[in-house]
Amino acid sequence: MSLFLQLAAIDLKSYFRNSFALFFTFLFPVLLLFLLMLAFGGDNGPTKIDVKVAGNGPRAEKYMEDMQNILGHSQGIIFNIQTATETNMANEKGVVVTIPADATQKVRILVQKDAPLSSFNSIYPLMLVNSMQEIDYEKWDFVLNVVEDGEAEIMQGFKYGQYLIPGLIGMILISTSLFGFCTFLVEQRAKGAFKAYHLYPLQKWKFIAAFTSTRFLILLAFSFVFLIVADKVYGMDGVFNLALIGKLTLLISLGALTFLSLALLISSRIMAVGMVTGIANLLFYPATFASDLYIPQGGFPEIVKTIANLFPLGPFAAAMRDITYKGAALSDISYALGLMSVWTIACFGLTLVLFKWTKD
Amino acid sequence: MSQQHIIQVKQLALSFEDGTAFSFDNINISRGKITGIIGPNGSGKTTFVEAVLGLKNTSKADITIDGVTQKEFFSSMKNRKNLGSQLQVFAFSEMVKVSEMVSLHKALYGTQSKRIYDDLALAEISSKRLDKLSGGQKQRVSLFMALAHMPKLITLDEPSSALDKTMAEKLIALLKYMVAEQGCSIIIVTHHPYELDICDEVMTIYAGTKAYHETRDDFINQIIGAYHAQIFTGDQNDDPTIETAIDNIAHVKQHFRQNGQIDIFGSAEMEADFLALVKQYGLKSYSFAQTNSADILKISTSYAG
Repeated sequence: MSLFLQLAAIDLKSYFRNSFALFFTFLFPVLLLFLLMLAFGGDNGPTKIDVKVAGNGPRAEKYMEDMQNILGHSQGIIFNIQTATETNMANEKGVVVTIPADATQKVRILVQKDAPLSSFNSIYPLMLVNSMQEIDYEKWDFVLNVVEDGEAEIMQGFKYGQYLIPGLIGMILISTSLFGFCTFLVEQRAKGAFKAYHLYPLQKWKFIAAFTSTRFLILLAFSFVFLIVADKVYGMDGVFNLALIGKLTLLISLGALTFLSLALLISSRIMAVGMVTGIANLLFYPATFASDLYIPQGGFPEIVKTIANLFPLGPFAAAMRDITYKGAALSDISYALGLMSVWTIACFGLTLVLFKWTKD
Repeated sequence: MSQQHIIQVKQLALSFEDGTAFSFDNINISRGKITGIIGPNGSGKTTFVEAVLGLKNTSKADITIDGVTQKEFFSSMKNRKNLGSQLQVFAFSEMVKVSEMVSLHKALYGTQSKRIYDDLALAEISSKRLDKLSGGQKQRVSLFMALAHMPKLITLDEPSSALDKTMAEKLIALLKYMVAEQGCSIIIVTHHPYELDICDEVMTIYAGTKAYHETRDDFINQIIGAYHAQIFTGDQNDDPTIETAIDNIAHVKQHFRQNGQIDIFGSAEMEADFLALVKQYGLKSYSFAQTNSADILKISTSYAG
């Protein structure tokens, strides 16, 4: 067997012998999916949404129709439609949606500070419809203003699970790469395991290629296991034909390579495990928060959106949603594919130059 | 290019964050010989070897290995195939099985000695994962990875420290065979007399620099003393006149007093005067013998400097 295959085989076998690693790669994401779906997927008992129509007119009717279409997919949401004014809103408990008659004014979604906990379950579905614009701390703890109707229309019929699953795949690809693979490499270096590699007749690129290959296969396996479980349990409503599977394979493969290459680059020079954990956290939390994975991006400042869209995580998740639910062609997700390719090539290239075997 | 020396260190300097600095100049490791490196803990033995192997950041390094510069040596896969190193810490991924390490070795070097596989008794642990091995078993795997391709240059860092006596004896026999029959050059960092017994040359390192580098015989005869007399002074421990008396013995090279015991090193000619001293002080417990590896190690560690 060639050296490359031997290294890859050893790494793959070792990985599958590590029950801790298997749990965090395959089981934990599924548990996270169940947890988030339980909390925000509408299976948590009925939630009352008071819809205050501040003025009649075609806009209010259209918006209510859209909202009922959208939120109707979330189980257990009860709409209570009534006319109201701004002045009596403070007496309401729970979620209050106010639709002004004036089309130039924005629709507002309000959650009162003493609202029952279950009310918050409707926030995520509502946030799928809308984008967070501003927070009025003086009167409400949490205030959401609805953006243009057109955006709501696009999201019609879109369930939280459908939004969440591609986002979770993206999140697990980057978290496994950073916390699983990157820290593993730095730990090995810190323990002195790579000293031997420096002395063996082994080129760095062969080691990096073998490691990348096995970890790529692991990420690919995870993604499809996760998709299958998610589809069976929650019904993603994607049309899983050969064309879609082909496009998903390409997208997930490129995504896995992108985040792997990033992990390798970070691991290439960092010598202390504590430092790599810190860097991984610094990268992971802002990236997952701002990348439209499980929190809609709409309400973020433009600069945040711009930066987030230059990082491959958000475009990856968006592209996955587009090809799964909207039947997008590869050309439609060319930005995501191009961006990930650039990141992958740059990170691998730098890794080959910078990677060190030893900490000294 | 020196055919006589497998490693030539013209200049090697390392400095550390705590302010300590190691400096090794003009060290030549003989080809086809076993060189033992001894010295107290923390004196720089492992650092020296790892610096030569390119595993340490150095501030100055002018090193030639097998006729080429250190950089050239490690940039060539062919050269690396001629190197076998057992490092102080064997820290391979713990989920790997021994049989997979054996396969990896074969894939790395393309050749593998059945004798070394058998002598290190790897068959009996081949199905075990590294994290399930004892310290001695791990050391056997580490030694296999260093030796099984019969490299021209071998570096070993306390190779038998975790081995049982039988396995240690097998290792010693194996190393002797590799030098005698295969022409290997071996560097051993050691604290063990039976490892030092097979060394052709001895290099002592104190406080980050070379103190002596001689053939083992020269080191014993000229530096330490070919004979070793010991006195166990007991309740006469505090009598300062004994040491004055020892100083007056001809042919004594050095003597040390520690824990109710005086060690005297010198040539064979000191025997008569030594026995007279024993008689003069009425000492009941004493010995007189040829200096051995245990003595060398003791003098190089207990009485360092």
